[in-house]
Amino acid sequence: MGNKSGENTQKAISELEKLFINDLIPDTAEEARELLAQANIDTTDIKQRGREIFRSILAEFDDDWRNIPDEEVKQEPTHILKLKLLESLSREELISRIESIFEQLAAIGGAKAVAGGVANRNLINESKEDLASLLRQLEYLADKKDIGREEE
Amino acid sequence: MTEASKPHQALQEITPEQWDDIIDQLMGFTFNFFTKRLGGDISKAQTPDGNTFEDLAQETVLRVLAGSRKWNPEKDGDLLPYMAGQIKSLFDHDLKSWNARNIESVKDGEQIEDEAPVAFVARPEYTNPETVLIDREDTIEKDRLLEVALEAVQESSNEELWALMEVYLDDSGEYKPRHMAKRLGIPTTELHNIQKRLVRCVQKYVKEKKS
Repeated sequence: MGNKSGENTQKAISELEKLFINDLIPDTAEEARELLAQANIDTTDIKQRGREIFRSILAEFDDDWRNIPDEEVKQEPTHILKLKLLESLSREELISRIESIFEQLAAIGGAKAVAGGVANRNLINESKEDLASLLRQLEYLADKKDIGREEE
Repeated sequence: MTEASKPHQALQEITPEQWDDIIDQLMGFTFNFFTKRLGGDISKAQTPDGNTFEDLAQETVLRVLAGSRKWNPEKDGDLLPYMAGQIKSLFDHDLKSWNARNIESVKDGEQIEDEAPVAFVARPEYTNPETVLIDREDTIEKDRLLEVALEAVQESSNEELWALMEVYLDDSGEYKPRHMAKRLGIPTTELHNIQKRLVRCVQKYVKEKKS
């Protein structure tokens, strides 16, 4: 072990121990679900509670697009019409508009959450319907915040 | 950025779908952990303080999300291993406090010990926080882990495992995955694979020594 100090030895031991602890983590969520299903363990409740807490924490950032309830957007009288219009756009145009709104939202300050949110989504992999839906949510948020955007 | 805001901002980069997956994997981990530590019917198994595996998983989620455990990805690494560490920490704390209460009652000359829940299966070698669970059957004292890992790697004559052990043994005290991978000249994903191979190597060694 050479001249390794006692403190560093303890740290190395703790780090090695972590390997054996982490070895118990299922490699994938599918593997975990299979394991729990075989043991007849239902995770619905804890997931639901976790989701609620997760959402309540995100709610501290009122400019996060994930905090806009779908229902709120859908209740807008012109929602369906607006969504249809967006769905008629090309994928490239949808992505371009999404990025543009994200930039504007990020620029108004305190909107890191929004910028972080889009950075974490690989828009290229999203379906056209999802892109239209995301853009619809963002436009709704932009309107609420009086952010000017390109005319449709 | 204040310390308090870090966990929230880091959590914001997780999508709700990713969050669901994390919860499932955390529950899977806690189930595995309880299976190893306590055995028996895990859906009913409890720590000495009466916590089920679901209680501990939920408590961890609450603490991490509420920020009382300040997860900082820069310092603590990925969320899931961090939460797994918190589960172990809560479990060990539960055991230690129960042990302490029992020791206290002996000190006072009282014969009555705390009653552990019936479902708590007393397997001292598995529930002692000072031991490391190598696999389902084998444990070793924590203080001997480094020594045993070295013996195992030496016996395996595996060069990549030896290189990994050298990183654990140097004096830098720096174990962040990206730093360790850099020292080994490999990608972080490959580091993870070598670490898994190290775990298997030690498990095999301990098992063979026992038999």
